[in-house]
Amino acid sequence: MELIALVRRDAYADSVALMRVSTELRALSGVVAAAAVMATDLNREQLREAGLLTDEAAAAGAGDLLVAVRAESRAAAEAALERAAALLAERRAGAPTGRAIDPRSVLSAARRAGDATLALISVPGPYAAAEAQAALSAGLHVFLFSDHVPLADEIGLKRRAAARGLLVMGPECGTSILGGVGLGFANRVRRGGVGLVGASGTGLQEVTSLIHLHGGGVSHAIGTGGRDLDEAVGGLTTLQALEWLGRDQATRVIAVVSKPPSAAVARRVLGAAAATGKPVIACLLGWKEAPPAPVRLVDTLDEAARSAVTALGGTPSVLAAPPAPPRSGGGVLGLYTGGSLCEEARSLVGTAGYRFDDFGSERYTRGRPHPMIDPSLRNAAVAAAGADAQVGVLLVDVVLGDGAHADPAAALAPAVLAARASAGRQGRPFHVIGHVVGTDQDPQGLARQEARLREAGALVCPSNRLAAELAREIARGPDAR
Amino acid sequence: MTLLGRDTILRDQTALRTDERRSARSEERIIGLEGRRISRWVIERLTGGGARDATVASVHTRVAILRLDRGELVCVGTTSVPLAANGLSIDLPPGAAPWTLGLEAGQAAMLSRWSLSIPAAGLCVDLAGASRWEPRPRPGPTSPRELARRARRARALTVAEGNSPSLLPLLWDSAGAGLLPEPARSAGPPAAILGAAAAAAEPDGVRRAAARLAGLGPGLTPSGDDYLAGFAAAWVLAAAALGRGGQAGAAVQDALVRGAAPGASPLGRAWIAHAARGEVAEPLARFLTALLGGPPEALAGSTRGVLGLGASSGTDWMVGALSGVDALLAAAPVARWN
Amino acid sequence: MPAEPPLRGVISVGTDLFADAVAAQGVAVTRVDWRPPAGGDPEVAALLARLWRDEVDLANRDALARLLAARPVLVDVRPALEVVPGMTRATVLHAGPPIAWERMSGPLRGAVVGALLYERLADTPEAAERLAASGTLGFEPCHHHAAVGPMAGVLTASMPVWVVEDRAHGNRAYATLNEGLGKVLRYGAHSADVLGRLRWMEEALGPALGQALRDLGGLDVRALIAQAVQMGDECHNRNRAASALLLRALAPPLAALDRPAAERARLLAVPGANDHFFLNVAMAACKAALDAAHGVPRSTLVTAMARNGTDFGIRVSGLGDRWFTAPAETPIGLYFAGFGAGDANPDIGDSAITETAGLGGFAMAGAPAIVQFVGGTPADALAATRLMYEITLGESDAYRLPALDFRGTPTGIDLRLVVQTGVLPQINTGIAHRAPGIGQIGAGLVKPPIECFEAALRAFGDA
Repeated sequence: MELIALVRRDAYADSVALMRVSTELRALSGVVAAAAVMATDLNREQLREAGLLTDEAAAAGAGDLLVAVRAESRAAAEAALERAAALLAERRAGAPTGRAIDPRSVLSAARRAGDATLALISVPGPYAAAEAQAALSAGLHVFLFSDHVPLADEIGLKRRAAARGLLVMGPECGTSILGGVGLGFANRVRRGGVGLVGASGTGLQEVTSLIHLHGGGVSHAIGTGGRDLDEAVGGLTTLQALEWLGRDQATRVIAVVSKPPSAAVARRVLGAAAATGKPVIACLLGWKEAPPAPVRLVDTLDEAARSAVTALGGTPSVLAAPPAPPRSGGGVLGLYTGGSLCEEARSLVGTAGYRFDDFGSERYTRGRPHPMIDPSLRNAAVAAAGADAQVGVLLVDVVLGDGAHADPAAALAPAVLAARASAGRQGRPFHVIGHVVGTDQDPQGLARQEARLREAGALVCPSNRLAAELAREIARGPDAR
Repeated sequence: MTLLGRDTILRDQTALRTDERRSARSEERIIGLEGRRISRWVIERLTGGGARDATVASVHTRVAILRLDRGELVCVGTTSVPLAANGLSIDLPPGAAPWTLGLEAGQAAMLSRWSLSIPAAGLCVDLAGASRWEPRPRPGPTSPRELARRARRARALTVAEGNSPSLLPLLWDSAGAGLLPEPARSAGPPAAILGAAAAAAEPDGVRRAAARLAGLGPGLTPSGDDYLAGFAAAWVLAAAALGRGGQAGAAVQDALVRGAAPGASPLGRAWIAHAARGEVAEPLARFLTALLGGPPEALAGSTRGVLGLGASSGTDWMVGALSGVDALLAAAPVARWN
Repeated sequence: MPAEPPLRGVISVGTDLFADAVAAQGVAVTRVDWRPPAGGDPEVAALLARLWRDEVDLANRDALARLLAARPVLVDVRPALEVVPGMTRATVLHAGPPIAWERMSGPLRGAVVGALLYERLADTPEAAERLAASGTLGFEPCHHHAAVGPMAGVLTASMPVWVVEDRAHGNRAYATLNEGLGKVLRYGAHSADVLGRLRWMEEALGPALGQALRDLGGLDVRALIAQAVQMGDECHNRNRAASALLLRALAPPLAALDRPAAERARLLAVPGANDHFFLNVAMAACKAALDAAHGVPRSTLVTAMARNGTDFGIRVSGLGDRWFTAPAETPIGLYFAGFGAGDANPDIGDSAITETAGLGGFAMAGAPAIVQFVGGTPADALAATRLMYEITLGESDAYRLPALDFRGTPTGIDLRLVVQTGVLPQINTGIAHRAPGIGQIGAGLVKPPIECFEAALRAFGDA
């Protein structure tokens, strides 16, 4: 026989709602006795007489809501409490007359949506910290998409969150996947054993999509925001996330993905990753130092995906680029919407690179939507690229998933055609190489998007690395060996 | 002159079926009502003797719009509706549901300084006792600093209490502007251009931006029309209050009206034209008076009075008005205004 | 883990794009109707970010608990000099934050003159004005002396005051007896009738009520308000039911007093004819409860809102005795025949203490009939209360609104929420004529100036 109680501090439910909960709980199998009451003196006394008062319940006050269950087994009791929580969280449609008022603050929304566990914040930067701190006060985890949040605010948020056991993903966090739910710009990927932590949104998108492609799956992908691995922030969210992934039973392999980190922080992070005892793949672009033992360092995002799937015990597919056309030389122009993809491609293309533009960076997004939402600026640059005599190879990315444009390949295709036509009129060789980040489960559909690009005459590669290497290859020119 | 006619048949709209209304009319009862207030602008349309022919252009819950023979619009409303610049307000007996009187679009009407009659609806309104109302407020003198201070207060109150969806997000700082909801998202770029062009006294830019804003958004008066009306009214009246005048300012006004005309809704177009002459509806006049050198303690209340108009009309108008003030204050110093 | 699968419930603040994306994945999303705080001032936003922290949250929990736990009981009526702390023969207390004679508005000046005549400190109104301007009198807010007063709220030594005791925390609060409507002291009248009535209250009504209360052993004010709130009162601008309940409780001991029948009849009739007789009791009860919640370090709970006819002032639990003031606004509402907006005095009185404690405008959903006097529709009354939940930390245990499924009234105004959301407390009030002695000319709605709250927020930043 198990007796357990649920105490909700400072919660309120009217007597009708409470009676409904009590009645329903008593009808559950395995439940011997149950009561849902406001913990007034009188009610607690009655519970005591009925043998339903636990110590915790005895300490509750008149403003607290109390659900007590006596059941034949622990499981039955816990199931009953869960049911009670669900019933209490149901909100009535509102009083019979008068207009509803939408919540005006995070705190108010949290009070109404009793079951909410996370706040998704995307207000302009100067106001974001106030909202995030309020969310922490409300006991919520925070996904902070906003950028231009002062560094001191980020540190304050993360310290406070860590002390309260809450997670702050951001600021400037573009992507997370928690328990199969994508937050921000995220792809629909199979659930499975790889847990990721990343300071880079599109980096996480590339790796998770490729894991899916290789037949693997993702338990969680925790975005940390672009500055988390800076010296000043010290990797607070990354360390917290590593600890959790270490304890999470669904996670069997951990992958860490980031832009170049501060050295001290990198070491600390790799150490913490190693301490989880699980196999760790680390892709810290630009980090060369040998990591502690169970951590495997890889150089590229697609390598990270492949290694993670291997570590799970799976067999990654073989990804091949399309056959390379004749090497026609010319500079490589990269016009990207994803920052990490841009970085990775730039470093792989190396000296053959003419120019790389990240349209998601601040200089292009001031007062404009992100290119993954509104690709018109990048696409215009693509169309113009055909007229630039220095450019022999054009590299582009197309990012799918929730939050992104509904049909980015269709939006890009005319620009690609225009660029090729314009180069054709000048009689120059001109190749367009594209990589689509996404999966078959994304609303836009990976296969459809790749086909659309091919129709426009682009060479489509299954990973960013392959695209960059193909570009470098073509750009070497006919004379190179 | 007293009330014309005998019975007043006024039934609740929901109880009155269409065929009942028709039969009421056919019994030739005449419904006599009194006009309470009439805008000076409407009176001016009616001087020079005789009645003018008109048509009922549209009928709404509390307002009917007449189109006069030369195309001008007149708003006929009950006394509970704010009096518009081109308005005329009529008293209905207490408990009467307004505009259940058998008014329909297309009916012929006649309007003179003394009466409004709509024979097909059996309606006759005695205007002789209606008092004259001036739709152009006379702002007191003020300084740029005081105006900026009051505009800031009105802006803060609007941000906090304005309605959504509307153009309210345009008042926020521009960071993150790329992710605004509609209609603010579409209106953002032309609104920014309008402000910059007006401040720089560039009529072409003003005209093009006004064309993009006119008709933008849903509603009897679309958000863009309300925004332009607010912008124009604030531009004209604030300039007067600051002692600025001159051709450059007038050129901006004209460009705004001309740019908006093709795309604006009929009523929106009319109200934008009124606004460019400084003629506004009563609650808007109260706000502009408080903003421009009037008693400061009236500012908060009158701002709220504007925000309460319509679902988003008041908010959109206010956003336009505050943008107009910003543009005026940013305009080049007096030397450029000849 | 942040998400034992599946992720339960997300709250979205900001663009709808991501909220839509999450909703499309089948997760419940609650969207916040977000506006930038303070019209977009990033400094204010930075201050707010510093104030959402555990210390402040805990302090607020403490302060709110005290407010909700208060048990005001009406125990006595006694002369002010005897019970009001710091009261002297030369003290003149008034409503609202501190104000000098020179800045006082019409109704307050008139009331001061009337009080000086009543106390026989001056013989004529002119002499009274000279005395007031002389600087020898101590003008202080009622609030500084555990007292509150409606409208001009002038309180001097000889006036009888209700004594309300918070049985939960032991502190007491005081308020004068309500004189009735029309030409009365609190609207600045000081004619012979006014003074005569004040003297009758001092000599007959006050002592009788005091005796009656002592004979009763006290009266549970909290329970009375709880009933009144379910009878259509909100205990600021509408007190009819509460006044009837109060008189019903006091009538038997009053009738049993050893006085001539005619006098006993008058003792019952005069309060009986005053629909706002209970107002001052309600105010004292709210004052007692909020005083108990005041003084919790680092708490952002608002513990007083008060107006003196010129300025609006607020006090905050964690900011000590400081007032944060700004020019009071003029209420907007409906006027009695013959009066208009141009006649109105700016907002005046300590009665906003009722809103501060979760009554008045905050309880309008329980008093929809009030829209006949302040304007609007019953739906507006419901909406007004609903909006107040957005700026309060808790809900009353005792005062529950049937129209909202017996939800407790929004209680515990949080300074942070007011500034962050821009939602200002809704006050439901009478409108006084700006000239002294004319009386109430209407009723309406008014809000505090946002500047009071922003100034208080900045004070937290400096602390």
